[in-house]
Amino acid sequence: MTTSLILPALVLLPLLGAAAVLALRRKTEHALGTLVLAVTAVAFALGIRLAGLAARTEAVSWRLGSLFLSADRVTALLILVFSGLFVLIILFARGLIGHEVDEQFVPKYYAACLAMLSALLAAALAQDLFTMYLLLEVVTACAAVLVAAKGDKPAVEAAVRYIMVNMVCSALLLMGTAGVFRTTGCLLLADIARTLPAALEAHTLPVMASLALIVVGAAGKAALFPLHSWLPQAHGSAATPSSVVISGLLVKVNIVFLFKFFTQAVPADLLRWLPVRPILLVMSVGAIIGGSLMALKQTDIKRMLAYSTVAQVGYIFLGFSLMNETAVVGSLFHILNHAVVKGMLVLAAGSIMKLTGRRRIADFAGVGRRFPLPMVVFAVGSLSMVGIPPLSGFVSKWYLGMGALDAHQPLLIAVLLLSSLLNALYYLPVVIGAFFRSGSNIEQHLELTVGAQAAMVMLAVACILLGLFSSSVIGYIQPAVHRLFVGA
Amino acid sequence: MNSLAYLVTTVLFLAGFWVVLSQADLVKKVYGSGLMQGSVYFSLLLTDFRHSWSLAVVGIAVQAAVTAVAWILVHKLTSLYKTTDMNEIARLRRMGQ
Repeated sequence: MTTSLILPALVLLPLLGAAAVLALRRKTEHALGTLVLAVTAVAFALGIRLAGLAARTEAVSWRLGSLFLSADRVTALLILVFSGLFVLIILFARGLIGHEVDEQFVPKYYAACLAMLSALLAAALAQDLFTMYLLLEVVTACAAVLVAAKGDKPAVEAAVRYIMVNMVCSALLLMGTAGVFRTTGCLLLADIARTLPAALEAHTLPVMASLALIVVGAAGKAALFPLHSWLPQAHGSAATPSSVVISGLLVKVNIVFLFKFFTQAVPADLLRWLPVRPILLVMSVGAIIGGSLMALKQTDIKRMLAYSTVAQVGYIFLGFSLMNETAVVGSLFHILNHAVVKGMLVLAAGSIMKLTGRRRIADFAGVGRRFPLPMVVFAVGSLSMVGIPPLSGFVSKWYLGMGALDAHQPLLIAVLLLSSLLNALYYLPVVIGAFFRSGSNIEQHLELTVGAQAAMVMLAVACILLGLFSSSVIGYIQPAVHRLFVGA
Repeated sequence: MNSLAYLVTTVLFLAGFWVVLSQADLVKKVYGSGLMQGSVYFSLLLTDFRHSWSLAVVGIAVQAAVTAVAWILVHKLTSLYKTTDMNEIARLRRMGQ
């Protein structure tokens, strides 16, 4: 175990950045954007350094009093996903955010972004159940600000619905956390793992109820089917960068919460005995099929992407609920893959919406010939979603499928194939229509900034590279995942 | 003493849950979710004050911040629609489309 100051720096740096943005709120939007971009880029660079450190030792950690931060290879990967996606979101938003958000609100928007990044990184690093819960609360508050930032009726209504659902889920999560604390007497994940079996024997019902409350609370916050109702509205009416935050990061951090809790605080043999896995399995299959079917029915591009996120959350939970090494690697890879691919799809669709003022799927006919760059990026993302090799989407499906075979659940392969087919049915018509059908009088409403174009291209390149060099990412996290299954 | 505390907590928690689910009024919903979370801290303090007071202090502070954001958003929505009734707001939105 190595101690490193990188861990507190990762948490404090964005927080200081948020304070600086608020202090400098009179500066121009462009200057603030540059500052925020620099802060997120430094966080990403620290993440790379941390990934290097984590590769050489079992865990990198840092402790101050009762605050305990620790990172293994999986955490390092998550930190790279969170900070890296934020760099590209800010790169896209800089220069465009003034068109979507009231000028006065821009500094607060950036501050909420950085505060959220800080909470996301801290939630990935924290090793104490109550701290993790509190960080999810901070994430929720920041996300509500980001959703409402547009300030029009649909955005504010979506933000209110979002925060209402999430406050209830938080309360359930808190009740579960308190229950675990009361029955085991500890909050550090490693301590809970030691005391939980005895606690379960002594107070079976309260412990089971607490675990159930934690699963329902976090699954609701992660928009796992059938608790996903808040997501499409929030995703559909928020500003484009906020939509990427919702589907790329907000949903993920709650999944990471559950993953950390069930891998680090619940011993593996106990987990096999609990009914958590079959319940999550049913919900995730429901999410994959239900989310895809609902996406098929949408006429609005952003709502279609939102329902697609519902389905992708199902993929991630599917791998975790299979609980074998291959499937968990697939799920972790899919967290990375979905952040990249959904990021590029939302940014591309959002740019088209801004460029043309259109958001109905039917109105996308012909836009590909007029605006090739965003539509090519959208096409690459769509193909990755369908799972065409060598793009990154194929790799996660491959590992999830192999994991299903390892778990002797071959029927799940059929679910994965059916979902690929459904993905093709709702993504490809958009792409085909955009390039091969002619659209009438497409006007250009604004100019895309170089940064926005660069962000989209970098995501597309990342999607292709992740597909080609998936083995190096998987080789990096595999030892840490292996330890989860053998170490227990 | 402990079982009485659990009973009171559970009743308060469920009452809050019921308010959030059954009431369409946003103000009541915010109070309801506050009651749910508050009941948890209340029970922690009642049953094990020595070990849980610091958790409750930090937790209530964070909860207050989140609730403040919720109030601001509800206020903003109310000023846009001139009502705090969620069903009415949904109806007005559908009419506007």
